[in-house]
Amino acid sequence: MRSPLATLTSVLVACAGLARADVFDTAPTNDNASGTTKNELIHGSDQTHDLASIPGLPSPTPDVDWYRISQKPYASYEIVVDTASSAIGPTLALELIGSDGTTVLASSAPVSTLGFSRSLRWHNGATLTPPTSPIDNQYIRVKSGQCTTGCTGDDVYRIRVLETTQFGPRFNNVGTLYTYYFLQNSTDYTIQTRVYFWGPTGTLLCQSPLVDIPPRAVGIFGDDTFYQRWAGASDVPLCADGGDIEDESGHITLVSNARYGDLRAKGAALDPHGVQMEFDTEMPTRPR
Amino acid sequence: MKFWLRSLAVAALLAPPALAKADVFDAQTPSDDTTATENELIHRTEQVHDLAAKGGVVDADWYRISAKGYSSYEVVIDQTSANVTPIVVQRYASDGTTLLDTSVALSTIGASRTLRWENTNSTASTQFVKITSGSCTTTCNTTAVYRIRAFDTTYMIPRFYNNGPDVSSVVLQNPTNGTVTYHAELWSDGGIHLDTHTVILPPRSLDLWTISGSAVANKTGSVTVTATAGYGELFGKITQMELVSLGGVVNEAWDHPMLPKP
Repeated sequence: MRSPLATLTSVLVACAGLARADVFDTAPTNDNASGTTKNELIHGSDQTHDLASIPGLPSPTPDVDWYRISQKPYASYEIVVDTASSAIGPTLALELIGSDGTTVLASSAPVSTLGFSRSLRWHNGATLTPPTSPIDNQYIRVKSGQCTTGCTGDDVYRIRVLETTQFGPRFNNVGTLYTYYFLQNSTDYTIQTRVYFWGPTGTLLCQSPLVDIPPRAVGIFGDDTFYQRWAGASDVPLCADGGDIEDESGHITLVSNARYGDLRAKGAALDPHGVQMEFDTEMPTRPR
Repeated sequence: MKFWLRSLAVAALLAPPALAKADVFDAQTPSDDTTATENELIHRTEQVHDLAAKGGVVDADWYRISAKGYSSYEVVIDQTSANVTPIVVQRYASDGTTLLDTSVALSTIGASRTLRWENTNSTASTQFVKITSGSCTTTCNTTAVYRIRAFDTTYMIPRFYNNGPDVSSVVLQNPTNGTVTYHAELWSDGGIHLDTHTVILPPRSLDLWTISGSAVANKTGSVTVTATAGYGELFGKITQMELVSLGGVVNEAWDHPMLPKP
């Protein structure tokens, strides 16, 4: 039986060298192309990789890391890259790539003006005919913005994946009840949202319009109106698809291009003409 | 000092997870190669291991997990290198030989896997989780890696109140693409198990029910919810309403969110 100290020593020795091979580059089937990668990202994925160039003649080839990702319907996502070594950024390329392995569907934005850390965000509710099945044939691609063929094993980054869909387990507009939800954008960037209203058995009742909530503003919706009380905007009908949730009850999902946790959402069901009670419902994301 | 040593060891094991190094759990005595393993999974366990074969013998990583009574669990495998894909994740009974269930893929991509189960019994059960490669087997080297995480997926709702003029209603949202079975266990303030509410929830559906029946009549307490969903995939709350008071209509309601363990 080894002592804990001996075990610890072994671990530290094993990890002592910073420049180790990225096993996803050296495995028999590597992550260097869309056709070969089997590295699947899911909510909560948290990995560290390097972008060491691949030796070859007449010159080395830049390392590109490819990932597969399954996107659920009526959902939104964020990919975050940070802990990037100085040689690979800015501007490190972090992109959502189409099923053909070449079309860039979305590119990342810097998390701040520093530009070292990147955030790639998208939702699959861009139209009123969103996909109804998972999208399993798209890719995430990461490549250096600087060292390329000169990258070594020291040129590392961390990649994390977060589903940013938000879930409201209750709205109730039946009888004398009606429900308001408040969407608080506490950030300094505009957040685009779309809200889906589901009946108790899973029937899609209504899709809101795409609403761009400006920095520090609050979007509010009731049973028939999306209130946009900021400069240059006006209130719009809640259901953009001809649906109707008056006298309906059910649950809500919300997609957005916010960073994970940046959009605070809460509902309040009121019954001023009935039992005169109020019911509060938080609309959180999945925990990490 | 012990704390810092332990912290260093954990940090060294976890970071950077995709870079090759020896799996110390294969080198220990006892190793994690059999049911003698002393590697225990608990809520929020997160480890990276390899499946490197030793002398042509397939590496199998065994873990112990204690599934508490009235609780549910999820074990997630991701960050799998191509040579172990499709990775095999199995749960065994305490005898180490009876196969209880096998993981399912999180998507049609098939590389990341999830194992979910409920222990609806009142007592804890020690079980095993076994990981083996689905492809390289005897030729796996230290590049054959995966990450394992464990979650207690039991939810907590701190209050129901069915006494006097108060009633409590539960709402539970399944926003996923899959069918979920859940059990709501109702407990008295003194921790006595009162009743169980069992439901199979279709995709994107909602279960709304009022806590009622002779077992919970004039009772107050709390609720725990176990499910076959992944960690944090369900959402819900209890609304406690006071409908009638001594003076007539009373206008009070309290909402108690259903939360997973952080």
